[in-house]
Amino acid sequence: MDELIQQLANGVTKGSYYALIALGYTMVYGIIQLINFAHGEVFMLGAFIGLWTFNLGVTAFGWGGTSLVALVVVLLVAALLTPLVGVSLERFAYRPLRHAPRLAPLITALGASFLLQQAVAVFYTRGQLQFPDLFPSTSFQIGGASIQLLWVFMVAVALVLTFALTVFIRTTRLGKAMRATAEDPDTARLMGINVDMIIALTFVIGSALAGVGGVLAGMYLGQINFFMGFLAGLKAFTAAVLGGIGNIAGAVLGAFLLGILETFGAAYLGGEWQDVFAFCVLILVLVFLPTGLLGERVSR
Amino acid sequence: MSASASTTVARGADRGEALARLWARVRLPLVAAPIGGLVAVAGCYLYWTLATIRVEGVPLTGFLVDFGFGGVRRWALLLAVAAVAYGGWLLLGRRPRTARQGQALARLGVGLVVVPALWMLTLITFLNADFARIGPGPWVTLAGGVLVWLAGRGLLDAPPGAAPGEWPRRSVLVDGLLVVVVELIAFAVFLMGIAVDDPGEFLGFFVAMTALGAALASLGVFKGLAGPFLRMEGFAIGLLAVLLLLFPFTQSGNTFWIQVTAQAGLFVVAALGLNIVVGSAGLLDLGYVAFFAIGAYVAALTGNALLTNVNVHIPFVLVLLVVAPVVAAIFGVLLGAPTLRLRGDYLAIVTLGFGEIVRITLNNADAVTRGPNGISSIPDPVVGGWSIGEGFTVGGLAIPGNGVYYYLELLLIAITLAVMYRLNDSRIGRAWIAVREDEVAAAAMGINTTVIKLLAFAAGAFFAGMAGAVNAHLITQVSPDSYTFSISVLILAMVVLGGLGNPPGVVLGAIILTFLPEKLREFSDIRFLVFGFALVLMMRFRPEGLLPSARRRRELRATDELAAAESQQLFDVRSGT
Repeated sequence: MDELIQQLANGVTKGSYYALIALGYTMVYGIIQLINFAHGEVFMLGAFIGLWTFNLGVTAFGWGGTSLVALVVVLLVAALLTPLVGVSLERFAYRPLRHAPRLAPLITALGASFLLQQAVAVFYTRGQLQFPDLFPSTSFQIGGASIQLLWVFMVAVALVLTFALTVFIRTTRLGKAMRATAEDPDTARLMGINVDMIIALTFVIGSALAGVGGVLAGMYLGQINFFMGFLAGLKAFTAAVLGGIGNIAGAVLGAFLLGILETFGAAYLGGEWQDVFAFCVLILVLVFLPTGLLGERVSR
Repeated sequence: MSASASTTVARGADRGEALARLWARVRLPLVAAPIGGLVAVAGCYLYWTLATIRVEGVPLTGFLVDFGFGGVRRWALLLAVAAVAYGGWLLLGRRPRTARQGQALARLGVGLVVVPALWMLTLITFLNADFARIGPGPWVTLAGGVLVWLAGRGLLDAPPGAAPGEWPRRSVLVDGLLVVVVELIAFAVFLMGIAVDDPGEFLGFFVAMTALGAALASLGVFKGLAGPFLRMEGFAIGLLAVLLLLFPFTQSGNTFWIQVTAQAGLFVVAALGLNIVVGSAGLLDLGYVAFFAIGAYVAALTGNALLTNVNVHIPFVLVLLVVAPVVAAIFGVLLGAPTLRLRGDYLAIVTLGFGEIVRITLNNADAVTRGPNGISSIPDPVVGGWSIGEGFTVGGLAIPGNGVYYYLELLLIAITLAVMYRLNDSRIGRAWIAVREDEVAAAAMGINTTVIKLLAFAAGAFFAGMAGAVNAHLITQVSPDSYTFSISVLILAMVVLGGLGNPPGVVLGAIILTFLPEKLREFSDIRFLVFGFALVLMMRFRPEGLLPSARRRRELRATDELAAAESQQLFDVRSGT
């Protein structure tokens, strides 16, 4: 029983940062039907930007150890800078290909993913970097299972951001324009919506969420590297499909579900088979449940 | 009726005026081109560095200080002279200038800009020189290049000129001579590329050749050459085969580049296989390396390796032609059968996942695959008592073992190409194209799209398995690390760079992307960075690849400036009559 709760807690925590990445995948796919392969790399860059911000803070303001100020600043900077990456991708790589055959933007996305990954590897480092503990490392017990406060924080951040995003999409004018663009870009344009701007906004929001996810994942995993976005991105994409791609609530549900499934899979099959398990889930979901659990509707 | 006649007249008058104005503008570019070329020539003879650059105490001879030309300047000079000659000919010749000629000039100009720019960039980033060390030479060459480029751009306003067509038959002799000369030049360029050792100089060589080729392409030379080559197809292929067979003899005992060429051959076979999947059938397969890995592991497990857990031995010829490819193809079907009903982008993800599953499984299944250590000390295959690693001797000239691998590769490429061309002309090949262009319409025409896609998958996997089997013996070991996602992307980049769907293009892409990293070992760190960048740039600016197939070009590129101008001209002619 303790074991069960422990695994469940681990899975849900993993699910929280998968969810933050999956939201970007699902929004972009919902609006331009593109699998943005480079999205996992935006997540990775979020973690690196977080680390750089922290290092800068250490030299400039003498940050050290756990500090709530540092945590907030790091999260904010990551959320503010990653959109630059996402928007540049959209502007220079995807927008010129919006009317090309689908193979073209897909290959571009793949190339962009490689480019970002290798840029970090070549110009910064190929090694593992320690990520600072920005959050107090206290833990508490629930029925014999040890739960860290950080995990609760991560899940809370993911849920709050998802909630905010849902409110934004449901109630604001921009959110309405976003839904309209997802529904039918040409008609949306005729209604006076600046479709290019809305698509760029989608990338902004998605990248910011992934950036936050990157920092959280950095704290959770304790170390980061240039390659971390590849697997995380793939799994987040699986989560998005599992929940029904284009569906905000579905992405989050899928992410938590995948996190839990993966943790249990790893516990019972052995850690070295964890990724195989995740990929098998991916293939099974795509084959048998391509429209996902909650159906493939766009942010309704 | 009368209304349309009067608009025709008005249109004609407008055009007359427009032409007169155009000529006034076009004159300047005609003068600018040879001047720019001369400036670039002068730049090649100026100092390129102001001090000898030493790397670990050794002065670099590739970057000469003294007057004269050497290293990269040779290739800048080649482009500059071409610009002077062509620009001068355009200035002095009498026929009206066309946009195509402008495009050719512009491409030479771009080459003249890129060669010195790239040289300075590599000098500064990799040899830690600073701008103060760089002499006036590269800047002057660059300026000349900009002038030539501007001149070419200026001519783009001119009428496009006749669309290039295949050159008509004059006589068998002329056709034959053209074939011989072109193939000899191509072979010489290849040998020259191998002979250029210095990485900086190689970059210059590569850019110069690309720019020259691009300029010739915009003049329709390659399109024209298709005439004699198609008329003398048998002779052209025969001569090419002879030249390729002679290649190991040109290396005078040095086996390194023979080994690289053999490796390139493997990638050619693999890329041709992937081309069936991505190019012909339009299915993006991102886990293609899995089939390559499966072929390699089958060959490793059955090849009498020294360090292995399995001691099955199957004769090499059987493994190469039957076991490895068939096992790979079976896995292709196993993967494809449930997943091919998915839409294109989901399929890409599934194949990616499959590639990772295979790699991790190879890594974890210690009992059979020896896990991360892999299987090593795989001996050279023995065919009829003769180990092909021993090589052989012809008329006193010894062919080393990797030369035999090279010949083996040639054979496999020939088989693959033959199969591909036969397939492409068949019912199946046409069905692949139909499925790629419009799946719903294809299904409506009675094509069983699932079976057809499955066939493409199996065929692609088959060739990957074959290539993998040779790879295991050639590099004598297999381990999961060699078959990562990056290799899938590398092979995909070969197909995309060369030209999706066009076998000669794919061959070229595979050769370029195997040789480039070998030539630029100093920069091997950044090679995957460059591949990623190349994929993005190719899709953006030339999605049809270096050597596109005509059909694919039309599909991938809706608006080509010159093509648009051509159709406009067609419209003008029609409305005028």
